[in-house]
Amino acid sequence: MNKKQTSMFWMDVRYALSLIRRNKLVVAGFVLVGFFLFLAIFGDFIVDPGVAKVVDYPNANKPPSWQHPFGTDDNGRDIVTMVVLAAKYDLAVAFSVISVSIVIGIVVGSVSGYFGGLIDEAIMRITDIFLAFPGLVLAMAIATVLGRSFTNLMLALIVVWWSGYARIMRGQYVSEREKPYVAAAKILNIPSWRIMFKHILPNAIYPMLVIMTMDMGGVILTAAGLSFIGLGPSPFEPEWGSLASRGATYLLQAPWIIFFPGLAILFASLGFNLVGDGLRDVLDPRLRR
Amino acid sequence: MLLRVQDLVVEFYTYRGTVHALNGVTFDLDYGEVLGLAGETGSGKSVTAFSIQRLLPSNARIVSGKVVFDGVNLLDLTEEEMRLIRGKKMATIFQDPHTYLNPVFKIERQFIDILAQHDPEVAGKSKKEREKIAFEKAVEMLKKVKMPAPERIMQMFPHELSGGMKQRVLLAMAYSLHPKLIIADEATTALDVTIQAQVLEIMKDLQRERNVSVLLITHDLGIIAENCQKVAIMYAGRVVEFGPVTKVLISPKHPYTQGLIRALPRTDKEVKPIGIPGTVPDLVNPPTGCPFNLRCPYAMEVCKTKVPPYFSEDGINVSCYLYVRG
Amino acid sequence: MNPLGAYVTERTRPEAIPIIEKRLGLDKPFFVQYAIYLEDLVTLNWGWSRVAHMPVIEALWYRFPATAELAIAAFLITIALGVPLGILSALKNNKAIDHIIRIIALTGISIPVFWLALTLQYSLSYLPKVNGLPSLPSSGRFDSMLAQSYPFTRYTGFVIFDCLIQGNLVMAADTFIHLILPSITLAFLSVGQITRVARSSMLEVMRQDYISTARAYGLSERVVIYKYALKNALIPVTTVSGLMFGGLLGGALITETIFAFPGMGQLTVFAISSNDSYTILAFTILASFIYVIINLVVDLLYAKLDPRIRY
Repeated sequence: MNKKQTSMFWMDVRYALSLIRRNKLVVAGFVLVGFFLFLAIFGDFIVDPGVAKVVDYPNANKPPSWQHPFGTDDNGRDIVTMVVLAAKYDLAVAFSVISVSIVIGIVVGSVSGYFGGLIDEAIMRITDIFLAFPGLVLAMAIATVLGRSFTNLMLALIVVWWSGYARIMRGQYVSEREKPYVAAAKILNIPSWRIMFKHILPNAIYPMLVIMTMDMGGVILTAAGLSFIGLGPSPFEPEWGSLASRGATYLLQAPWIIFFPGLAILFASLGFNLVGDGLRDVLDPRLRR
Repeated sequence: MLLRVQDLVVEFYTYRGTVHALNGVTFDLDYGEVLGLAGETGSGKSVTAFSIQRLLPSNARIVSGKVVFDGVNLLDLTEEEMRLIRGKKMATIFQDPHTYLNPVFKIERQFIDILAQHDPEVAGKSKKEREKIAFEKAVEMLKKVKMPAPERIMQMFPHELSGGMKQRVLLAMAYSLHPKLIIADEATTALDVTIQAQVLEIMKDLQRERNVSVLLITHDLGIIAENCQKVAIMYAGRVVEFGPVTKVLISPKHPYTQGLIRALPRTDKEVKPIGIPGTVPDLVNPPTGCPFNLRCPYAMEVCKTKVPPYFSEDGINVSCYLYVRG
Repeated sequence: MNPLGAYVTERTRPEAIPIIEKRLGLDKPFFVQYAIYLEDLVTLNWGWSRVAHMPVIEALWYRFPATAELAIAAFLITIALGVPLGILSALKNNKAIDHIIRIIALTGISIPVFWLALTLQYSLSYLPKVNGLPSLPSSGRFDSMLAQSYPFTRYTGFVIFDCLIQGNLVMAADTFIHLILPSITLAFLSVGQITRVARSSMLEVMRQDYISTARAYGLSERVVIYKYALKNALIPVTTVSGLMFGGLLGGALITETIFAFPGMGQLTVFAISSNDSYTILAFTILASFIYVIINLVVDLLYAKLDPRIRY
């Protein structure tokens, strides 16, 4: 990008930031995301990570109090601590799933969309097979096969998510490859892979940014859902969904066990969705007016 | 006088600032006349058309001016009253036929709805009768615009028709209600030349037959020369010259018009087309005074400070200080 | 995962394992196993469900109507609420009501299903009951004690339908009431999605040129919106509703568990905790099958709406 392009880019960024600042909801979203990121990174220093591994039965199922603002769970652990500790894991899962999925999706989708023909057909059929399964159901099946752990949870979600991204990226590549700049690059004998990744990709990825951000929320929700039905990590590794699942049995006596982890999921997911939504508003109508 | 536009000023409010789209548009159009509204892209031609119909988007405002149509100032009317006029007294033919027809409805549906809305013969009767009468009228109109197999066309969807056919359908719809004014907003620009000629031919016939007034908006001076009696030249949101077509095109008064004529390629003389130096001004920050002063070879001091009013010269109205009397 | 998981526990004698393996055909070469698997799949011989104590196919078939009732109810709620809200939001773009609806929709897609289920259970079922107020039932498909006073026979398995044709209005109403909380829970996430799609689609359509044409010819605003714009706007909504159904199937797993609703989802979740792989696999395949069919139907519907697409 030459100088004029870079300065135009920064103008866009400044404009985007100004729009964002004006929209209170989006600001709230950023605050939420920032908050949870903070917990994820510094969680281990704020609270005592050892709490997760300790069982303290006499203290179990105590309602919220000054000592334990969110109460204690059935193992006697302080829920505030558990929620904070779990932030790291949940955000890490979301981040890894999205990043790996998008990489796979880009590779698969770009090859399929750019080259077309038989390769395209074959790849799309395979993608269709994966897309034929409803998300949670497929993730559940895979997680069951692999066993309970964080890594397996991530793998299961990646398998579900990559196909969606591949399909979208393929669509983008199919429409971009007809555009003049691609023809120009081909005439200049630029190798295909370069065209695909240096020229087309920056254009194709635009709509994906919004989707990826909102999917962060989606992955957190799905992961929590899977943990809830028993496919998440073991009880000694804190995860919002599994925390809540343990509390299901005690709904009536100790509703706080479910309430607060669930609330955390809600706000984390809401934060990402707000940011994604705001991003969408920024990226879209500006191009029209 | 059927239509009299006076000093129309329109602003758009965008993220980049306030766009001064129209800065004093003035012209008039008599019954049965064809007026050409010429200008480059961005000169405000379409905005003028939309302003007359009061179909501007929500971020636009008509700041001042008058639009007197058939004796009534349209800017004073309520939306309901405007609605009664649109289609019935004035109809529009838009530029791109591909996007101006609803893709999920058959042609007959859109046509019949329009007729049912305004035509007194159609409205008020039972639904079945309405549809039948409207259908027949529509078919007749389609025949008038030289559509082959009009009954079949009615049953088709827009995407099944070619560009020229779609434009003729829009023409038929426009004329079907016998409006007094037809606004053709770049109606032929999106068509290729042969179809363009056909469509213009049809329009000419209908115009003569019905004695309808036409506001022909285009950037093509050739089309204006062949079809219009009067012409108004627009530049940067302002009408700079306005008068009979022959006079304006043969002996243009305003420097911009002169520049336009000079820029036309000619087959009769061995003259190269000469462009006008400079670029169109940014309408967010328009220059003070005459909008053309930065590019005008005859610019004087006064041109830079005050917008020139209209002076009459040889039957033409020019907004240029070159023609000040005295 | 151990394919013997459904049949072997810690207490099985080691000598018995080869015998079980032989019976299950696990000693045969891989290709043969696969062929047998495909044959079984097609002939609906889907194995034995440990958690249900009956063949998997029977267990799923028995529970299918319950899940179907739930899914259909949730689907109807989603469309009935989501589409009008989305359109309203688009028409009143940037006004207060638009912002409110957008926030609700956004919250809808951010809420964890189980949290919503449990919150609703707690607030609309437990709390009112404890305080002597009328409350909604929180579990089950119908009140089994009530069913003893007003017995009905199961014809199709769709209890509401069965009861209605038997004239058993009490049980029909009871089942209906039991359906309320679970279907609202299940629908909430989807309503958010549909509202957003309806809104953006409607906004997009209203910007189109053919809407200008309609206005330029003096058509009344009502006709412009409800006739000209709406049909176009509904096209993407239809597509999304098919995809959203997949979410309903998945969400059913969690919702049925929490509300003790006797559907396929509940069975599958039991199967997960007992490692009953046959049931889990069968549900996965069945759910996907249903999902594919629904999307096919949606595609056909889409072709009907949009004349530009013809098969």
